[in-house]
Amino acid sequence: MEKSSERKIPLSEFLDFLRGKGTIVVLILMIVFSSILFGNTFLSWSNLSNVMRQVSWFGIAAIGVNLCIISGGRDVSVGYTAMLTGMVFSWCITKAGMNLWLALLLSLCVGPAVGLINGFIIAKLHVRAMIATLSTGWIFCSLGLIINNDATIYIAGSTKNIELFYSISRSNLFGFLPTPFAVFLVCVFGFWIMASKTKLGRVIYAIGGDQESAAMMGMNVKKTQLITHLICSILACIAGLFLVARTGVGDPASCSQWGFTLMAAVVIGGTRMRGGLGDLRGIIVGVLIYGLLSNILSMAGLSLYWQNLITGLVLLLAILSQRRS
Amino acid sequence: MQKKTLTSKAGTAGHFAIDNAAALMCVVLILYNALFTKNFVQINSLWNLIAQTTSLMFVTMGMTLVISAGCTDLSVGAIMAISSSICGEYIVSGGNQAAAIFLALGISLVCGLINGTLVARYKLQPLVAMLVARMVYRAAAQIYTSGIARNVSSSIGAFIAQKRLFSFRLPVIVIPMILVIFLTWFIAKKTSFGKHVEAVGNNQRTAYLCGISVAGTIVAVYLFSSVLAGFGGLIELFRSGATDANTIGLDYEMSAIAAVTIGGTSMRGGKARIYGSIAGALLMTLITMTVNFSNITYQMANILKGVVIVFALALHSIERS
Repeated sequence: MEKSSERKIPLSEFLDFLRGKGTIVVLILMIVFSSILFGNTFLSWSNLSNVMRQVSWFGIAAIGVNLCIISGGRDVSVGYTAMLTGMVFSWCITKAGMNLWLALLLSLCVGPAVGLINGFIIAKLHVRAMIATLSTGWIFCSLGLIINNDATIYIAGSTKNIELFYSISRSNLFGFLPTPFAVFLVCVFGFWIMASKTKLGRVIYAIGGDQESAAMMGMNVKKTQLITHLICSILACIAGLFLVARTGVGDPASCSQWGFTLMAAVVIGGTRMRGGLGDLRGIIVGVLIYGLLSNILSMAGLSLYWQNLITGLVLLLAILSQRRS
Repeated sequence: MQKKTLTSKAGTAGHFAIDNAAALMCVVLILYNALFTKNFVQINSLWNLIAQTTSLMFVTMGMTLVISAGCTDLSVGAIMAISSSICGEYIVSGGNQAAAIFLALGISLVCGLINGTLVARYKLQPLVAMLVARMVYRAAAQIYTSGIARNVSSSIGAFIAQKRLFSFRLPVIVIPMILVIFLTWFIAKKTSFGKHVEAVGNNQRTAYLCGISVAGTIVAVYLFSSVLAGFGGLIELFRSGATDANTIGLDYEMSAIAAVTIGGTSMRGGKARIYGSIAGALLMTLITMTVNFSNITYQMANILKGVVIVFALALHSIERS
């Protein structure tokens, strides 16, 4: 074991570079590369604002995942939480005929409920976060599929003020800034305040660094784990609502890869998989790289299968760059 | 940090229940079906139950060894998709059946080698590495078949899937299943390799200091698991008579993890319980069958299996503390 780690592994210099300031260089290279390759199709404001929109709900969920990973945990059920929220919302508003506000209220309950379930299993039953959220994610996925027997729900024209709901994802602030992107920036700011200025933020970093020492210093590990999972699921829930407001459908197949792609984005951005290390970069750079990547791949006309394959390989590269040396 | 819990108070009955949770749940479900499902108590239902479990049993046996080595293999479902697509496409294009089977198993071995290398050589966390592998392999299978389902008819397939032997109508498919159970039991309990696997699962550092090749053991375990997953994919292919890279093997890894954990093998590794895993795999099929018989949507079965995993893991952690 020890001998192998001393040996120089090929790839490693490139990966070291990626781990350092490399991610920002990669981001700039991607922008330059795609501007040359696709020209005005890529650089047009409509495409860029489209990327910004797509990045924003993905990024809102990424904040929660970042927090979980920093605290030494994992949450791979975020995608299914977002999907379940969307399904609950569209079911309430079409099949149950509720008005907008009641449907919003009910679907916003999904996040805290999911967070409490995850947090309870991880903090109170001492199940490891990864396998716990993997199984709860499976449960939420099946629940989302049950809601409308595996079928998509189309919201269009169900209630009078549905346009109001759509506008949270489709409108622009001050005529140019996409509203969800503004919300994303506000959430990032909130994350920064929480992580650097509050006691909770300090405790989350401490627990991620070394759980046992944190417990010995009198920090409440269980409570903090519960709170991080709660925050993570609530953010995923909000992200799910933004997505539904954009697409106008409750789609049980949506977001299924989020659990892994979000982890990829955050890890590419420099958050340490083992916890205790990570900052804003993890969200902004990682999410932008991921958003640009999927934009480039779809502009290149690759099928969804190829996109999954390439995303998986990029994720692998990101994780390899952080492996224990 | 952890309080004294259940097991210290509960006596031997509690231990017995925890150790045999899977078998007890099987008995409960069988009784339930015997009471409430028409025509359940027949020799044919038994054969159906076992025949439907076959592919999951293959995957579960591999998973038992992987988990007892302290790792997890989430890519088995995707490997099933790969092996069945390759074999199916090869047969459809007019190739030799035996060659198709060997090709599919060979590719499964390559996948296992990649998995083992990622975990043993590059020291990635098994769950994270396998999530990526699952995504990549499934996408590869979908790209290979362009996501199109195809009918595959083959003489081997018809023989394995439909042939019944003897007067008590024993399905042929049961024979490889018994062989693989015996093989896994033999490897895990009767060879030094089995001991190495448990040692690595218990404590990698100690195993290394005892002169066990940790990396080699982990790679071997992943190879074993993927080749069994490849077999599982072929069985699914022959049973259904069609390849479909989108659905074959979907969620099998989760069912297998549920079967293994409820069977008493701890996710932390160090102990392989073959009997428990057999009962666990039967339990998974029983859950699916019960849900089908009761006219509930099949997704309910997945929810129940998810609950079984959480329940089993909670039991393990209570037992430990």
